[in-house]
Amino acid sequence: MRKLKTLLFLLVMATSVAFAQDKNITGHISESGTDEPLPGVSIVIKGTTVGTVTDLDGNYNLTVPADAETLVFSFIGMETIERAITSDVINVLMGDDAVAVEEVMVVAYGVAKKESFTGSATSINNEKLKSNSSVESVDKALAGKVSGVRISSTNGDPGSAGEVQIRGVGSMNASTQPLYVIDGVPMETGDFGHAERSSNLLATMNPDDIETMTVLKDAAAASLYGSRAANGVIIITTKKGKEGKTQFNFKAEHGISELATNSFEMMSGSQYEQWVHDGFANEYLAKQGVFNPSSPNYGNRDAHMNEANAYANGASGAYINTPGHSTDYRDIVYGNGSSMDYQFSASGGNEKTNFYAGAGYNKVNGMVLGTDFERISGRVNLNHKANNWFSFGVNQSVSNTTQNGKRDQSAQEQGIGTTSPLGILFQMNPTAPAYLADGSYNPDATNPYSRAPHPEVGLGGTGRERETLTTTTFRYLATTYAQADITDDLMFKTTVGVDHSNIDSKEFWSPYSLNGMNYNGYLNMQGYNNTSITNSNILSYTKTLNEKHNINAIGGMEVQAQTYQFKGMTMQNMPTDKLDEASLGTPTKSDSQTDVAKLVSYLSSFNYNYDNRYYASASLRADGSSRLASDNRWGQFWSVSGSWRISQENFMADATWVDDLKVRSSYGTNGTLPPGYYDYMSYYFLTGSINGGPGYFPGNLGNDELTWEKSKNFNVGVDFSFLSRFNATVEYYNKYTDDLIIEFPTSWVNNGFGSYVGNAGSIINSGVEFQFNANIIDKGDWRWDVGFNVTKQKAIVDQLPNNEDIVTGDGGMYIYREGESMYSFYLPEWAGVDSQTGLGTWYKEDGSTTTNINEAERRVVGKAVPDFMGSVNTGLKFKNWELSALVTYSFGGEMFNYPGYFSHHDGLRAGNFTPESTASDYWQQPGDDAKNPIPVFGGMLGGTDVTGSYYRSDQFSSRHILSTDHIRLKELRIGYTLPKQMLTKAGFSDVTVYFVGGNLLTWTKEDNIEPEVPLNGYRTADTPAARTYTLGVNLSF
Amino acid sequence: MYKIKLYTILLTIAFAFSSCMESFLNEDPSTGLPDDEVVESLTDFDYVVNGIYHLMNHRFYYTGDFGVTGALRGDGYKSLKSFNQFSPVGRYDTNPVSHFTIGYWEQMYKALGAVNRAIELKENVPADEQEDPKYDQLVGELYALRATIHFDVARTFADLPTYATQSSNKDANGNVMGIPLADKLYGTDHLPTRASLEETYDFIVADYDTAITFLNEDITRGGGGVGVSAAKGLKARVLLYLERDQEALDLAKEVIEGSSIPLVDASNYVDAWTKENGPGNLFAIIANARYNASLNSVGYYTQPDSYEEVFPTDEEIAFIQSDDNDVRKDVIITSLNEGGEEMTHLNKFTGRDNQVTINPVQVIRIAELYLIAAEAAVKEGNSNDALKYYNDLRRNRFTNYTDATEVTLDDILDERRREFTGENHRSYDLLRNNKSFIVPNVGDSEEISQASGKNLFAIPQREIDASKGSIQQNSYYAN
Repeated sequence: MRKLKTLLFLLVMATSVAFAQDKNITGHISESGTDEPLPGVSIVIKGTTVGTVTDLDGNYNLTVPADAETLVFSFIGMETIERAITSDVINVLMGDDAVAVEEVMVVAYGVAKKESFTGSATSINNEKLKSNSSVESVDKALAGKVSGVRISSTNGDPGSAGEVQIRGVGSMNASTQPLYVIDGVPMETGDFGHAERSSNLLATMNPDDIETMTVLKDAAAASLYGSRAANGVIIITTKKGKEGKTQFNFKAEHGISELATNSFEMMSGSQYEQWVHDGFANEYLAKQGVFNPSSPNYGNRDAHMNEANAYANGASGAYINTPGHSTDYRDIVYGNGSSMDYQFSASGGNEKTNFYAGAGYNKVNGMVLGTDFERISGRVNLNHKANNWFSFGVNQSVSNTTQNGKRDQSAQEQGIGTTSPLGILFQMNPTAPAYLADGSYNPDATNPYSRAPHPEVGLGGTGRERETLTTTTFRYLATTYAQADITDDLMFKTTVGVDHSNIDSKEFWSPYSLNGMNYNGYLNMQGYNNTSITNSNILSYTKTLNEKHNINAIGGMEVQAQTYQFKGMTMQNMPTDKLDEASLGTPTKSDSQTDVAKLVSYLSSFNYNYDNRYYASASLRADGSSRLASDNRWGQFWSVSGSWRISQENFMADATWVDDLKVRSSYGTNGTLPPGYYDYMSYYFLTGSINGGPGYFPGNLGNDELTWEKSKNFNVGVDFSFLSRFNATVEYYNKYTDDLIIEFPTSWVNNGFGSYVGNAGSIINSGVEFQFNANIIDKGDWRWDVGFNVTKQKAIVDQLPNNEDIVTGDGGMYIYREGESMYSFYLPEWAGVDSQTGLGTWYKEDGSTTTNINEAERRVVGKAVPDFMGSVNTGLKFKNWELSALVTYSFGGEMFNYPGYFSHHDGLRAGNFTPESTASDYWQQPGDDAKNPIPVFGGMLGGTDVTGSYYRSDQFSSRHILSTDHIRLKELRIGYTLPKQMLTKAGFSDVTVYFVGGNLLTWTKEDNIEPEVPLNGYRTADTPAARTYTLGVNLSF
Repeated sequence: MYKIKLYTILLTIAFAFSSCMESFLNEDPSTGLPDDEVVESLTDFDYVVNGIYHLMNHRFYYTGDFGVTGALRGDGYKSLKSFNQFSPVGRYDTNPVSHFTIGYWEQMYKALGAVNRAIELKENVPADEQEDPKYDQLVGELYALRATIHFDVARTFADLPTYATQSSNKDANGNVMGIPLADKLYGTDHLPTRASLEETYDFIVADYDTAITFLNEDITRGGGGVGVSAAKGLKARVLLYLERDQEALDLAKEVIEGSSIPLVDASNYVDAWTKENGPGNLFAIIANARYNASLNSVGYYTQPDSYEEVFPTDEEIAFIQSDDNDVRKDVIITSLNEGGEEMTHLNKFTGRDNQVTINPVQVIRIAELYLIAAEAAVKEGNSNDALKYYNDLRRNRFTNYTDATEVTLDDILDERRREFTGENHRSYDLLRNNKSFIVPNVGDSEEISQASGKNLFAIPQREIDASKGSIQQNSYYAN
């Protein structure tokens, strides 16, 4: 490498010597910003081939003819600079190419200049994406970077699905997730694979292959994607080679992870001992009627306290394993994770062909024992210009991911698995040592009534009692295009996309394991094949008339066919823990299914601008979908938009401090398809073998009238940049979605179906987004940038069928009610602990309180959608040092703490579940102002013994509703780049060493809670978010 | 020029594409058939009828909760653990929104929806195949199932006929309320109402009568379907509930004399519970390895190391095991659980294929006809017949049996308790005979009787809402 460079250098020097005559010019070339000398910069006399290159110290010496007027300085990747020859010494500062080029962004079916774009969209480049290292999935890397976008992981386990919502919640029953488009082709995303565990198809994408991600937010930006665009669109563009020498890049990262918050801190041994004692004592008191208002002993606590204590002292023995001992089992279940990431890429090209080739290996060991994620991926992007009118290219990637772990608990209403990580943690007895004296696992470490394995046995994934779930995903993603310039103005492009994923999962319960015992060993294998083929054919026309009328129009069609195949089988009587293949067991179940969805679209758009001052755009798309009945399957989606660049007006000519000022607005429609493949159709199922033969039974009621959800989007915004340092964008949006896909209830009596899918109701999402970026210092060795964004949003249920509330979710905890927010919690309102009796109370309809939750009034007690959210980011550069930080925040939202329901059970699950440490704050004596009521053991059968009427203080109520308010140091990156001079000597163009921290600091309003929960506010029993520490090195040469 | 040619070709292809787009967009499910394509032959129709049994093999229906409801709501069974998988039903602790209430109702009416859809689809069987006797048998099965499922709904959600004169569950016209009748398919906007109790039972009896005229196979689908004997037997049971005792006696006799299924004798009785469909089966819902109620099955409720939701009380054990000569004492056995403790439990649902979750659950067996005949005869004052059928059964249940010379209603109820322990009978037998009793899961502070009102399940609130209030709630739950 270095040899070649030197050789080239000498050669060029040699040729230039031959022309030595007349005038001698010298100078020094350095890089702007860093002031590092730039060797190898080419200096040519304009209009000739006469020139030289700078030496290793960035100096040059060139003899030019007397009549030479201009020198041209050029260097790969940097802006070419021309200088008039006015003196003998010409020093030049050269900057990155990108600065010079007008900002272009990728939009629907094409690119647009940022200044001319009339819609609402935000582009994030790979620099910003990579600041969050070790995210195995690109959606998670967007967190905090785009206003109006909420990102969440449902689960902290590696490889699990993330959730993205752009501008609120657009649907009740259909998708709320955006459409992903990669290199011009819609891509399959979401949760495929094993039904019992979330796995994210996006995690098959290697984030390092991504050049930019563009988030399309309003109708002007997204309507061209029609029936799939109502939740916004995320356009991913992968990397491309640049003309010039081949660039090699190598990156290596190692990291560790731990729980980001003090989640699931269980009672210590001593807290537990006290709690057990008090629980038994209160049981005794309850039996005497001390808490029963109709008992003569009511309130007569002191009289019975001695007997109660004696009873508790006797009964506690069975619960306390080793008095005085304390084990923190959380350290075993949720320990430290680790990660490693290696990326290698090469890119380059010449004037006809460019390429990018990348390979990556990513491995994450989760915090939870036995969970890991591995991805091996490769990508080749190739573009070739065959002649002056025809070019083509192909972007291809293959990846293979493997995810090991356990079932998760992401579905509501399924309870908490006794062998899930959290289920095991909850069942461990903190007074029991984890290991015996000889180092072996303590077999009696669980609570007396628990049925859980020792965490190292149940979660470890190996050994005689193993229970494992492995998901392997192979994905092939390819986009091939051909493009022809028919005339100078008219271009045709045809694109074929192939997106194939093959997901295999294998769940094995050894015959000796707790779950496997019931089946003498159990094996479940599931295979999912998803193939999506897309073809689009687009004609585009660009013309400028009279130098002032700029026209751009496109028209075309797109066809997509998606085939989803499922195969599954279940075995029992697996003979050994050592082998886990289907041939070994007795088959009990096998299934297969194929679903097909197709979409045919015609699309067009028209953009016009006058003199780069007045802009107008319109788009129209017609979609036909196989998911709807033939009379109802076609729909039209359109948008109109315009903008006015005030700064281009003559009257602004004097306001030189204004760089750009633009007002824009858009209005348009788009839609969301029903989630089911055949929801509209009335059909029989042909499965169900019984009595030795097939059984056919009604499968779906159908509804020919079914149509898509439609949203009407309004957006107005101002973009303002000034003093070359500041830019701000403020936007207001209003999205009205109607014809919501809703399950209409009907009496089961009518036809054996309790509901059917139809359209009704509406939601209004509205909000204001504000984004501000400032370059505070840019002087000498220093550069300091600060950015800030805030989104104020509302997602309000507007209309419901017959104006009636819809109560939904686990235990009916959510309500859709006109005028209330989406994801509103609807539960009895907790009135706190009665300071005299120590019992839990709720509000009744008349405002008084009751200890019987069945008498309490259900109220709207919170909502998952926050009022405010956003981020603050900053970047500081000093010489070769770089520091960047991203702080995210969210206020005004609530969650339902489902694990908390199990760990604040007030004695109901005594002997089974250990409470969390926060449950230690319970009522002890009259006058106490405690968070939790008295623990009472033995109240299993509805707790009627305690108060004489129904008493279940733990039941779903606003007691388990907690604020998600938080401020979080999401990302922190410190990097050091070796000086150019030093690098060049070693043959490198860049060497950077860096540290990246994820979720380093978190402030939460509530104690011991992970505040980032799934977007519906339901805190699952799954792994909370991790705090990560990563060290990395990046080499380019 | 060359380019123009290329584009002409491409555009032609594009338009060729678009012209066939409509059919391109038609997609059907891979595991289902549109309603109008389901029945094209007698065989198809047979499968459609068979599918209804599939819906009765369900967690909330015969192979699950419903299959042991009468046991846990009776006086001899209790729940040991606190999983609440089924015990709330035994505590009579269900309400308009509890999932048991909804689950029972949903599964029963789902099956009725399938019956009515099949009755409509029977017209799609080609005319020549409608001449086949099998066609009549299938039509008969549909009516017999419609009657049976309506009866299941009625005894769960409405008063029993023996309480009709005293019931406070009355509609606006002053009639005691029965259940909404699923007598045909209705549109989704139909607002059903509850028929009177009298209309309900008239409908059930009429459907059995229709069924009996069509049915021509004594035992069908290997005991997993309803044949002539089962339909007549089930009708006899309904007649007994209606206190139309002479008709019940006559019909029971007809089945006993006409059926090819004998009573299993004493030496084979206990073992018969491990065989195919159980002892003397006329009609059972048969689970299999593929389709069963899994952990919410009668087996997993009654065996040790399970949810342990339905276990005999000490009193029940003593009662069943009181006579060493009664072979039925051995359907309750003592075995060691995983922890090495002795557990005494029902052993009727022993599991098939080494799986405790797979069990046939008998809808009716021949022994019940003997007990129906005996009870109806006692009530008619016909002691000859009463003794005959009482002794005929007992002779096949005892070793060294000496015929009884006297039999009372209580004797027969005791015999039913022995014969059907742990099955879906006891609470109904006590209630329909106007007995009040202590239920272990409820506790001894309260007696359950027809007057308690909570012996009826609540009508699911979602059904009241979906019918815009036209389905009326039972008075115990209405406030």
